[in-house]
Amino acid sequence: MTSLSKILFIDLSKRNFRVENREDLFKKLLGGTGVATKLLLEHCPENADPLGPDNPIIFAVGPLTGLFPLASKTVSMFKSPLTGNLGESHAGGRSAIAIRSAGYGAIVITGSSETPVYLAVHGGDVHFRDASGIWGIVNSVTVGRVVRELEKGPGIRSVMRIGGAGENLVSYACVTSETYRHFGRLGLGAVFGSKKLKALVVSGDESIDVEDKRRYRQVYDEIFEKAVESPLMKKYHNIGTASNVMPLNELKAIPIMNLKMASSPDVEGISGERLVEGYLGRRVACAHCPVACVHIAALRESYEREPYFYKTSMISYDYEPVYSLGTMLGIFKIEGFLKLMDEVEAWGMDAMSTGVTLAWATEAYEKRLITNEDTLGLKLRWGDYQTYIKAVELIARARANEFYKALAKGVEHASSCYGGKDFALSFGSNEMPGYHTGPMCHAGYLTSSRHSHLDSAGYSLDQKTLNLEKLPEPKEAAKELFKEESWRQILTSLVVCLFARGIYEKDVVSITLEINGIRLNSEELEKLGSQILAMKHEFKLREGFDPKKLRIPGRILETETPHGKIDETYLKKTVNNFFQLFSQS
Amino acid sequence: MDPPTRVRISPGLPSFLYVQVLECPQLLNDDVFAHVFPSSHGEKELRAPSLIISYMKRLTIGDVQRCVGCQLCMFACNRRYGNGGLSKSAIRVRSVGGFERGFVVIACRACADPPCMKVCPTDALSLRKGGGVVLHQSKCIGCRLCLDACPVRSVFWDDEANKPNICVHCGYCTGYCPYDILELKEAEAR
Repeated sequence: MTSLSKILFIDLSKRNFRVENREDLFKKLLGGTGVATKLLLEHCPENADPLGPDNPIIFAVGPLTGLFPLASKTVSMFKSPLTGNLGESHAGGRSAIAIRSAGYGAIVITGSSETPVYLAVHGGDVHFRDASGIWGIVNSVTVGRVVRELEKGPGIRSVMRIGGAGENLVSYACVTSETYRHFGRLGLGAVFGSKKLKALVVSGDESIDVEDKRRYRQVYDEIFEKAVESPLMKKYHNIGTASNVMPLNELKAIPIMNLKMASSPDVEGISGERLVEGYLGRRVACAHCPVACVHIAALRESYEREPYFYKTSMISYDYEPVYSLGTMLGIFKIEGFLKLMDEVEAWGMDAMSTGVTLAWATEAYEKRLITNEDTLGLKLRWGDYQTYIKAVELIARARANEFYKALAKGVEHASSCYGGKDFALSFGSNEMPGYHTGPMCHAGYLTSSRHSHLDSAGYSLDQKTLNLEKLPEPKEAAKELFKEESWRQILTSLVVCLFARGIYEKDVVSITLEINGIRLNSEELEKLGSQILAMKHEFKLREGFDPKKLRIPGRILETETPHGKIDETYLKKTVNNFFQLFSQS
Repeated sequence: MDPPTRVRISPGLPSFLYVQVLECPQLLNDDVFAHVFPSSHGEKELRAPSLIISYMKRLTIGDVQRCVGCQLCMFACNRRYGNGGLSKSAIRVRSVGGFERGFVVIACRACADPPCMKVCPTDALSLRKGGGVVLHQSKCIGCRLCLDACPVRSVFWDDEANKPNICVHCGYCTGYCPYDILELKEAEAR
């Protein structure tokens, strides 16, 4: 029987490992985000170099993992090479189940290997495998194929690995698991690369003991029924997250060509409906999730010189890549988008950061801030996916010249070298998500702990307030964002998928925790959520985060949102009010 | 063959909790019960919802192209014991070789002449009506011969108990397959 409170510590420098029992930690902070934040505060020394041996990689799962459906996510924490501050990225696939079934609530990897290595954790066994033979395989899919053959546990394992971008320390390189799922944001792949860690394989099939077995099955069935009947779940199953493309376009809230526009008739060409009808080849689910929101397109292409010979590529997509590698780059044809997506997937880069960075580069090239010499002759043009594919490789290799090296560090860095800050769409150094719904979403990007749309869901608040005569007072808006982000800390500590937030409401969370022997009512949960959020803020302040230094990209104020043009004063007031809430709570 | 008999197990539970026995009601002794509904052993009570057992039915796998790899069946199988996780699961879903190519569902195919049974040195596996085998826990010495004998590798190993996980064709997993790939059907002559 597995116990959540066991933490596996792996030291890559000394090539040793140990297991610690931290019941205190999991009792108090549940798991996931809560536990990982505490571990980050404990194990990341102040001012640690994100790409140095001191930066720990923390993976944490939660009390619901392996017990209830839709609790399929692993939380990773590290110091981000992209922002130089709190790095937190979540992935689904089979990673969470594998970690819990291997007998752990968390895995902490520290140190750095001199030679390439991959780690294989099979239950209680930890192996340091030589990876010098696979170092240099740039395609993350190939890396997965190789490691799969070498390790045991098909069906009950996760292969988390990096592609070429991670090896080359691209600041927004991702870690890919199960071919199509990612610890996408904030550069965990580069942290892997800096440690010469090519992959982490985890497998296991332990059981989780439940005291009240009857109650467990009863609650399980209730959640299962809700999940399979929920309309939201059907939406994510049928068309997937890309079902948001057309509604956001109609709302005039989808960033196009570096947010020069927020709506265009061309967007229809790359809609979720078009993708499903013309290309859907398979749907895939994370372990223990009935929804299967992962959509994979089958792209059939002919070989130019060989008649009647075709290849079919299976390419995963979601709303965010459709935005960042599609509309944001003026690519409105599905084939072009899919080919670019495939390239980014192969190299193992965050699709969102890559797209936003390329969008900035295109506009900078248009405005002649960068020259042909910088781009090595590539003529970056909206919609020209073939050129973008070439640019992706140059970024991923991160050594062609100073320009591509700068792009490999993200848009904040690149724009500080070449200018064009006004249209460099990053928040707290993290590239923008695909929502330009109004002031709340941008307030959310600026204030939230990961500078992500998923933290406080400002895009949702924007849409809810669309029909009101006037916007809520900045103080109220800040409170709403803070409240939502606090609650989401609970969901990501459990760890459940945020798509399941409508199912895991406060009372349901209390019941599922009770089955784990943890008694917390709604009020206590809310309080714990804001405590976890405050811990994250504490880490950020420790590492030099200064709310006053947050940059508001001028472009977001120029392009109309569904709420009209954003009032900068209102936005600033909301942001200030948000940070004041930390001292009040 | 006796006429079908329905045996209600626990009148206190919702009415759909019953066991349908089409043949050989004598098989429903404690040993078999403990195997099908392990957590009810000793309590004389069925805890698993919506279960219909028929000794002539077996688990079948339909259009595997519809499988999304959610593995809810694996967790359901383990939940027969009232626990989370996977150690006692007798079904497995894995990718064909990467998620891009789809999935394989590995489950007991209820052989009429089961190789696993033939290699068991202690007769811990006996023939199940309708195909497949029934495990008699107390006789099993954990030698793993059955594991290697199964041609479709559907005997899984419970490391915690050091015994095989043998599918009993109870169909509990079918209730959790969101895409109707798993089904409990009458065995066909093969």
